[in-house]
Formats: sequence, structure tokens, C-alpha cells
Amino acid sequence: MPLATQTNGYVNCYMLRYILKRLLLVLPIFFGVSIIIFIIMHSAPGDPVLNLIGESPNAAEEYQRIMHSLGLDQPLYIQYLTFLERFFQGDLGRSIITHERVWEEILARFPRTIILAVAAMGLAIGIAIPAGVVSATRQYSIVDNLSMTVAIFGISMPSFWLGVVLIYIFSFRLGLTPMSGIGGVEHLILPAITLGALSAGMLARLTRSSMLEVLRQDFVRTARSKGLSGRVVVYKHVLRNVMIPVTTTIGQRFGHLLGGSMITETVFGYPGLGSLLVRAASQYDYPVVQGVLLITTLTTVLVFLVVDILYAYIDPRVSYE
Amino acid sequence: MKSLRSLYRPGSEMRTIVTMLKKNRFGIGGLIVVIAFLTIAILAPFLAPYDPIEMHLDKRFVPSSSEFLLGTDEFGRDTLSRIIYGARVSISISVTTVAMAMFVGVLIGSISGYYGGKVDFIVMRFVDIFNAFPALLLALGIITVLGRGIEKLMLVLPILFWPEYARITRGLALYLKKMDYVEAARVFGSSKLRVVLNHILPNVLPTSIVIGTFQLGSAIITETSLSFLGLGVNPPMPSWGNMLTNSREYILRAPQLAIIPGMVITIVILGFNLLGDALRDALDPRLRI
Repeated sequence: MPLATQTNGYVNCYMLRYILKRLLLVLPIFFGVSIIIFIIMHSAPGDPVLNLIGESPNAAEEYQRIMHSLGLDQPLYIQYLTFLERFFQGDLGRSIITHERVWEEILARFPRTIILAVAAMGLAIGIAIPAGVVSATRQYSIVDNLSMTVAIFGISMPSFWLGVVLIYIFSFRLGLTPMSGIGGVEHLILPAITLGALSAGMLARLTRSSMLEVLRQDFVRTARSKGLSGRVVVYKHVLRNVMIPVTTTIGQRFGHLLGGSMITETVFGYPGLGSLLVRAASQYDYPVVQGVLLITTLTTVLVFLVVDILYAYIDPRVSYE
Repeated sequence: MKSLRSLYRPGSEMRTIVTMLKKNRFGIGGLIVVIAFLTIAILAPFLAPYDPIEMHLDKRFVPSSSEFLLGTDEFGRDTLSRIIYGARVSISISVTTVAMAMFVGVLIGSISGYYGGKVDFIVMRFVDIFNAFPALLLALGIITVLGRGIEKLMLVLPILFWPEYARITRGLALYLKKMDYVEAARVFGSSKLRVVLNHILPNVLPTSIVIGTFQLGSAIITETSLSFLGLGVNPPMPSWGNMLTNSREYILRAPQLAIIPGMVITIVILGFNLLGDALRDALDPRLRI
């Protein structure tokens, strides 16, 4: 027992250091991302203060006063720090168009986008990984050819078109699903397929090619030659090795899903963050664009971090150093 | 890395490509689609039967006929002509994007990988930061500030595409750095920059071509997606994306208005992906894209 505890303590200590190191690497990404968003939004054309004062008799004085009260006369780095401070206090400003608080608008819509992204990813994983495994174990069979054909179409179809075609077939022609809005699971099916198709195609292709690569390796031949059945070899030895690149890709795809939801949400009139962003961008509603960009990108960074940590659990070869 | 075995035989890549493509039916199919697409884009003014922005208001939503081969849209504009000119818009944006992304990404990636140390650390943090942005999101943020239009897209899209080049090129440069002939060049007194230009860059070229082929397709998808959202190519200039913007409103009246441009995009992207697959198998089979 003491030995086991010691070993555990040893592992946990290194694991903790690994996680801390990952967290440290995330910090520069966080600051980099927020600086880039700050700079983009800061270089927006038009002077918001000039719009505020309009035609006033003592315009110059008024201009200085408002610049000062908004902190716009401060050096750029002070403005950035103020922006960060406000962000951590949950203050993202108000929409120029609707005058709603940006933070509240985002909080209301964020869960819907996450639900959509998780549904899309679940669908993609559920279809793509089994398809990739079967394709690799029966290379060049009908199943392989069929699933790889579907997969390459999945990565070649633009999602806005797939969405419109699905609405045309299933909502208008067959009347099976609602064409837009939110509600039950039936509202989620078509958007999840639309959003997940690209990821499904990529995952199926990746699973297949990684599996073929692992199947050619020596340890697989050893496992086979010592009499293990094909099934045991595939599920116990090969799949575990394949999960490493697949997990990385799933993590990366999740970030892209949050970005891709803009199109899916617009096509299906789904009230998530993506459709909010598209509306805000077309109306030059800078505070909303800035808020959605920040929240979505930070979520992506967090997902990357989680994947990095998961990695250490899946792949024993990852050194915690 | 298989492709690197051919390092000592300059010019062998071209031969490898040709022999591999000959064996790969899908690759040839992809190549044909890509060549057809380029030809249509270049010859657009000679091929299009009508002016793509000319409205025939008395002939709106005309189904396909001998007068309008693919019918007309809600303003009575000829769909076929808009598709042909749309090819021009898409190809000019995607070629510019990939050329700029390749130039910047390959240069930065090779320097980062070969120089190593602090340079490498800083460059890679930049790549991390750009990778953290979901691509379309960053594009949308910049477009909100810069404005819309074809020139703006040519400026914004390379920002999304260079990090992939930098990341993959860096990995290759790290590998090439340890090759004997590269070390020999250093020993004989070549400067670091000279080694990068003479020995690293030519050897990352095959991989760059593979990435570029896939990226040409991605750039077209990104352009059409942004145009679909009304944030890319400004109407009335035709883009395969903005042809679908309002299609949902007319989908029962004229489903072909939504279906035809989308099919064209899918076929072209399929072409780039099939060609990319074949080139990857020929040049760098271990590359994961």
C-alpha cells in the first residue's frame, strides 16, 4: 500500500506540474488574443465621440470633456488595461443598436451555441470514428469506398448550401422538421448535421489514415502472431494509438464549430452567438462584435487546454516535463 | 518522411507527381475539374452569354430554357453568366490568399525552425495565438472594421491561412536542419539566412504545394461563406456565396437558384480536395491534412 500511495503521489505531482505549465502557456495566448481583438476594434473607422456631441456651440471643449470621461485621452496601453479590467468585472459595454448590455445578451445565447456545437460534434464523432475504423480494417471494400466518398463530400460541401438543401428536402418537401427557431430536439437535428458534416468528414478520413498507419507497425504484427484475435488487436492496441491524433483534431474542430455556427445559425434562424455576431457585424455594432469574439475565442482556448490535459491521460508517452 | 528520400535528386518531384497522378484516377478527375474551373474563370467574358449584373425585370425566376440555360434569379439576371463570373471572383481571391499565405508562412516557418531558440519560441506563440481564433470569427471581426469587398477579402484571408504554413514548414525545417548536407553547408561557411534560402526553402516546396492545393479549396469556401452572410463580395458583383443569400425566401418558387451555385462550389472544392489527396500521396504521404 505505501508503495502505491507513493507512486500515486509521484504521478500526481508531475501531472500537476504539467497542468500548471499548460496554464502558463495559455496566459500569453489569452493576452495575445485580447490584444488583437482590442486593436482590431480600436482601429474602427469613425469617431464615436464626434457622433455623440453632434452640432454643439462649444464643440472643442465638449469633445475634450467626453474624451476624458471615456478615458479615450489615455495612452493606448492604459485603455487596454481598463478594457481588461471591465471584462473581468463582466462589463462588455452596451450594444450601439439595441442598447442592451452585451454581457447579458451573450449569457442568454451562449448555452444555445454550446448545445448546438456539442450536438454537432457528438453526431460527427458517433458516425465518423466507427466509419473510419471499419474503413481501415476493410480497406478498399465497398464499405470503405462508400464511407470515404461520403467523407470527401462532407469536407467539400459548403455548410450554407447543405443547410439550405436540408431545409428544402426535410422541411419544405417532406415536412418532417421545423425549418427554423429553437425548441425540442427536432429543431436541433438539421442544424447539427449542417454544422457537423465538415468535422465528420475530416474525422473519418483521419481515423482511417491513422489506423492504417498503426496497423502497419511491428507491435500489431507481434500481437497478431502471438494469437490475439483481430478484434482484440484492433480495439485494445490499435484504437488506443489512433485516439491520440483523433483527440487533438476533435479539440481543434470544436473551436472551428463555434466559428462555423455563424453560418448554420444564420441559415436556420437559430438564436445563438453566431447569428448575434452576424447581425452585429452587418450593423457595425462594435461592442457586440468585440464581446462575442472575446467570449468565443476564450472558450476555444479553454477547450485546447482541456484537450492538452486529456492528452496526458490518453498517451502515457507524453512527458509531463 | 518518404518525400525527403528524394532530397538528393533535384527535379525528381515532378516525375513522382506525374507517375503517381497517372495511377490515381481520382487525382486525374480532380485535376480536370481544377483546370476546367481555371479555364472558365479566365475566359469568362467570352463564355458568359449575358452581362452578369444585367437585369431582365420582365423575366424574373425564369426556369432553364434555351434563352437562359440555367434560368434567371429574382432580378432576372442570367444564372449561368453569374456562375461563370463568380468563378473569376472566387479564383482571384483564393489564388491571392494562398500566394500571400504561402510566402509569409513558409518564410516565417523555415526561419523559426532553422534558427530555433528565442526566435522560434516567439514565432510559435504568434502561431498559437492565431490558431486560437476560430477562422471565420477573426475574419468577421476584421471585416467589421475594414469593410466589405473583394480587395478587403484578399487582405483578410491570408491572415487566416498563413499560420498553417508556418506550423508545418517549421516542423520540416527542424527535421532538415539535422540533415548532413545542411550541416555541411553551415560548416563550409554559409550564413544561416543563406542556408534557409538555398537548402530549407526548396525542400519544403513539395509539402507547400500539397497544403496550397487544399487551401485553395478552403479559401473558396471561406469567401463564399462570408459572401453568403453578406459580409464578403458586395452585390451586385456575383459570388457563388451571395447567389445563395436570399435563396431561402424563393426556395419553393425556384429551388434551382439555391441548388445550382451550391453544386458548382461542391464540385470545384471536391476537385481541389481530390487533387490535394493525390499530390499528398505522391509527395508527402505522412502529412496529415
